[in-house]
Amino acid sequence: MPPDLGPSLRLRPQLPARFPAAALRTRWVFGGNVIASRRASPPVAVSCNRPSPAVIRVQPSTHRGMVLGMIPRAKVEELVKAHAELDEPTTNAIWIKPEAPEVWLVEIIPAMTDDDKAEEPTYFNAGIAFRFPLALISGNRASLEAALRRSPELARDVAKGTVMLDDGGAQALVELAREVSRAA
Amino acid sequence: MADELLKAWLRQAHADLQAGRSEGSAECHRRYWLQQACEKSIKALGMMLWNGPAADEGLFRAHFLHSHSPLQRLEADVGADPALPRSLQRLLRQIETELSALDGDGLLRRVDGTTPTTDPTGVSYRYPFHDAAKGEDVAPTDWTATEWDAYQGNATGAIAAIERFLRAVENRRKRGARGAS
Repeated sequence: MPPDLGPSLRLRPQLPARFPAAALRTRWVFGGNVIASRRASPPVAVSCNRPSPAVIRVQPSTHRGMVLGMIPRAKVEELVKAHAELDEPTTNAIWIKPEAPEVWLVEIIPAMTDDDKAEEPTYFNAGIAFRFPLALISGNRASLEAALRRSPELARDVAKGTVMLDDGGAQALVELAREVSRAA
Repeated sequence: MADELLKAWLRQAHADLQAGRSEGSAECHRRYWLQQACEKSIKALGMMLWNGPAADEGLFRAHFLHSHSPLQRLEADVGADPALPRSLQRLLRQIETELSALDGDGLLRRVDGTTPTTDPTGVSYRYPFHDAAKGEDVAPTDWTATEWDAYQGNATGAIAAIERFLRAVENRRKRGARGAS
């Protein structure tokens, strides 16, 4: 019997987010009752038994059953800023899938070598300073452009994404993503 | 269980820090324990962040978890070998990002980078080495606190930085375990 979480309105997935079964379906519980099921962004199904500390919240009782991600934009901005200040800086960043329990970022890092699988995200658990799980898709601009052409799903997400950092490259990626989405 | 292992690393880091605080030991020994506390704290952070594919876990251990100076080693290896998997390259970025948000970031990196060596010209906490500045062979215990400060950073500052870092990792672990953000 899951614990009654009371009025805190906090939910936890019953299964670790990266547990293979979770790729099919994650059940969210509230007060012991299943109120919603979804897997907005199934991660790559790999063997990993570490639980995700992802937390989502629901709206008050009038919206029961409606599950919303609650990742503050300011926190994502802080993370992007920190990435832009690294030795090999991120120069452009797009936040995609804002409804997902993880932060999904597409970042151009010019120093990175060519990567023919740039569309594959790398997952991180929540850390000390950045307290949300992260799915990071990054590469140099050419690799990310190629990734958008290969992956219509990524293109759709980027086309709807929010540019968080731009020296011209992010907006160009969004435009390319829109073209690819239209053509798909 | 992953959380139990993480807790064990943190307990050991606390114990090492306690040994590093002890004033009854020679300075070289205190410095060794401070390095060990810092090393284990960084490893705990890395373990907390790591969510890479199972196929990369052997490399995570080899290039990070089983290294004496894990951050320095990961940085050097990722820089030297572009063929290392993306998960390790991104892990380095995430650890650097997390550290950059903490007070004492520079000191932690410096302590992490102090790697005892058997090279007779390299500084060691435990074996005699050649001190180029003095032009003489010294035992680690010969060095004064000032000399260790010059090598590893100010001891009081390092202790405070490691303490804060450990507390932050511990707090994050507890919040993660409860599922709160």
